[in-house]
Amino acid sequence: MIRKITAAAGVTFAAALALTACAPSADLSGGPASTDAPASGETFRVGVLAPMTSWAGAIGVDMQQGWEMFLADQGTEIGNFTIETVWEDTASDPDTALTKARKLVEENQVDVVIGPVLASEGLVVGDYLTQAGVVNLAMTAADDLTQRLASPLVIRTGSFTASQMSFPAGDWAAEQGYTSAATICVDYAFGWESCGGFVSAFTAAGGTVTDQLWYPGDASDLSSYVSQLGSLDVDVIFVGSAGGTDSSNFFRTANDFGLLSKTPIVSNCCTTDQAILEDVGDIALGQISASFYAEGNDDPVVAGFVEQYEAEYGILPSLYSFAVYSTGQMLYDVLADASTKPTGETLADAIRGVDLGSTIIGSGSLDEYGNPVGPVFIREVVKRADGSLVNAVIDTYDNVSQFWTFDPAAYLANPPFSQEFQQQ
Amino acid sequence: MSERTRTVVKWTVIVALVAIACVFPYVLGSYYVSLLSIAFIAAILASSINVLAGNVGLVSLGHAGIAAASGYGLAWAYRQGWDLWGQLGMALLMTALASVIYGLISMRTRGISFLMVTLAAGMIVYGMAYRWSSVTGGTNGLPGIRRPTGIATYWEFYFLVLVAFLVITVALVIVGRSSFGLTLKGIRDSESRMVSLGYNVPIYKFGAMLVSGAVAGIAGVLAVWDSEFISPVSAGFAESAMSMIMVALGGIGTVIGPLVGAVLVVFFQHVLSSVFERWQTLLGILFILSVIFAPQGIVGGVSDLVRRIRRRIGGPGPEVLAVDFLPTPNHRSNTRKDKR
Repeated sequence: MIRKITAAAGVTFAAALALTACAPSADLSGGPASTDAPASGETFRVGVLAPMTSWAGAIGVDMQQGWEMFLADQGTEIGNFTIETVWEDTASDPDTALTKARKLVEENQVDVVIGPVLASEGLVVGDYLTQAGVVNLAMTAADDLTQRLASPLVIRTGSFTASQMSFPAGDWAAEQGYTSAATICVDYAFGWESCGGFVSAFTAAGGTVTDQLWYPGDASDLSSYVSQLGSLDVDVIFVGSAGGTDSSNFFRTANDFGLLSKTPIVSNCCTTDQAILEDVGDIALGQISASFYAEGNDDPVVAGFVEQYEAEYGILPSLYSFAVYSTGQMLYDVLADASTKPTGETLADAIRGVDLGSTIIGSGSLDEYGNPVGPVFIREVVKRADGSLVNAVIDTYDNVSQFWTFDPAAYLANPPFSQEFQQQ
Repeated sequence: MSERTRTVVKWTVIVALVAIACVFPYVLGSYYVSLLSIAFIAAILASSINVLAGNVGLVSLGHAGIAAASGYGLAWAYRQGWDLWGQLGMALLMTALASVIYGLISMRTRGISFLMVTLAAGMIVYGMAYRWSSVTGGTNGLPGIRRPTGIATYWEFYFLVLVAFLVITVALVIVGRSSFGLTLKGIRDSESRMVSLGYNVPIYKFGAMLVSGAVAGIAGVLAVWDSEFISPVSAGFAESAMSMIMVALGGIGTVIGPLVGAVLVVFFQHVLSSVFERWQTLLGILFILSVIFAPQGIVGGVSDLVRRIRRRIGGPGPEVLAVDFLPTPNHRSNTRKDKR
C-alpha cells in the first residue's frame, strides 16, 4: 500500500516537473487578460526589445532612460490612445531576442515593437515580425535591414545604416584636400559597412584608398595595427570601430605611438561615443567623426534634449537614448491624428510618411525602404565650459540617403559590403 | 510490489508524461508551446552530450559546433533554393563531416583533454561561421529560412519536435543497452582493462562520437527550423556550455535528465528573465546547489532520495523517475579505478 502511495507520489511529482515549464509562467507573463485597460481611450501596446544584460547591457539602460524621459515629456495619453510599454531583455543574443519578440506579439499582443539594437538581433526579429504582421521600429544599423532584406513592416526609426553615416565622412575627407587614405575597421558586418561607406564616397570624390586593415572584434591589443598605420604615407586614416573598448584601445595606442599627431583621423559614428570620451579623456580632443547624432549640437531642439537629459540623469544622453526618443516622437506623430488604432501596414505606411523635421533628428523623411533620409553631422570633439568632452557639429550633410549619391537599383544589385567588396 | 507491478507503474508514468506533452498545444498559448519546442530541442542537444558523458564518461564542451554545422548546412541549402531533401542531405553531410572531425581529433583523449579538444573544435566552427561571411553571412547570420509545409505552424512543429525527442530518447536507451553501449560503459569504468581485453578503445570512442554527433545534427536542423535563422552565436561557447549545464543539472547518464535540465534552463532564460533581470545569477546559484547537494543532478538526486525513503520503509525500491542507461545504476562511484 505504502509503495503504491510512493509510486503515486512519483507520478504526481513527474507530472509537476513536466508542468513547471508552463504553470508559473501564466502568472508571470501578465498577458493581455490581466492588464487593466484604462477607462478612457484605447490601449496601444508598445513592446521594446533592448539588451539589458550581457555585453551590450549598458545600451538597454540608455534606452530605458530615453524612453522614460520621452513618456514623462509627452505623457502616456496621445490622441485617442493610452500607451502601455512592455520591456523585454534580449540578453544581447539573437535567439533570445527572437523568443522575446514572440512573447511580445503572442502573449502581450503588442501593436508595435521598438528595437532591437544589435545587427544580428535586428535581422531575425524583423523577419519574424514581418511574418506576424506587426510593425518593427528598428534601432539597428545593419545595412541590409532596409536594403536587400527590406520589409514593408520594418522601419529603421532609431538609426541610420552604418554605411550611410560614413559616406559623408569620405566626402568630407576628400573636401579637405586629402587624396590618399588608409582605413582600419573592426572585422565584422558593422565594420565592413562603416569602411565601405567611407571608401565608396572617398573614391567617388576622387580619393584613393591605399591600405585597408581589419582587426578582430575581440582584439585587446591594437598596437601592431597602429604601428602599421604609422608607417603608411597617407593623408588621412578612417577608423570604423565597434564603439566599445576597441576604440578606447585605439585612441590610447595611437596616442602612445604618436599617430594622433602624425596623421589626421576621421572615424565612424561610435568611435568617439560619449562612453569612449569619458574613458580616454583629453587624448580624443579634436577628433573628427560622422554620425546622425551629436550631443554637442547647438541646434536648440537637440540642445534642449541634452540639457533636460543631463538634468534628469546626470550624464550626457547616448545615441541610444536619443534614438529611442526620436522613435517615440515618430510614433506619437502618427497616433495623435489616428481615429482608429493603426496596426500592420496602415501603421507602417503612416510612419513612413512622418516628417523628420518634427523630431529631434531635425530634418528629412523616411524613404520607401523604411530608412531615414536625414542629416549626418561631421563632429569634432571639443571641451565644454564645464570640462566635459562632447561631439560638436562642424559641418552638416543634409538629406543623406542610405544609397548616398548612387543609384538604388544598381546599389542593391551589388553584394553587401564585406572585406572583399568595399567600393560601390 | 512485484516486478510486474513495477513495470506497469513505470510505463504508466511514461505514457502519462507523453500524454501530457501531447495535450500542451491544446491548452497553452502559441508562445508557451513554442517555448516547449525550444526546450525539447535543447533537450535533444543535451541528450547528444549525455550519450557521451553517461556512457563513455566523456564530457564535451563543443557540441553546439556540430549542431551549428548541421544548421548552417540546412540554411545554406535553403538559400540556394534546394528542395527539402537537398537541404536535409546538406545538413546530414555537414553533420557527418563535423562528427568525423570531432571524432578523429578526440578519439585518443579523455577527461579534461577531451573537454579541451571538443572546446577547440567548437571554436573552430564558431570562427568559420563568424569569418566566412560570403557563405555564413558573418555576424548577421542567415535569416529568412522557412519551415517546409506540414510543419509550418507552431503546433505542427511542436509535435515534430516531440516525436523527434521521443524517438531519439528511445534510440539512445537501446544504444546504451546494446553490446556497443556496454563496451562504452566498460571504457568509462576502466579504459586500461578494456584495452587489455583487446578492445580498440579509440574506435569505440569514435563510434560514440558519431552517434552523439548525429543526435546533435538533428538538434541543429530543428533549431534552425524553430528560429528560421542561424547565426554564429549558435555555435558559440555559451551555447555549448549551456547544453552541458543542462545535462549536469538534470543528471548525467539519466534518460530524462537532459529534458529536466533543458526545461529548467529554458524557463530561466525566457520566462524568468522577463520579470527578473539577474536570472543568470539564479541559474548559477541553482547549479552550485545542485553540485553540492545532488552531484548526480536533479534526476539522480531525486531518485536517490526516493530510493533512500523506500529503504527506510522497507525493501529496495525500483527506479521510477531515473530510467537509467544502466540496468543497475552505479555511475560515477567506481570510475577511474585504473588511474590509481
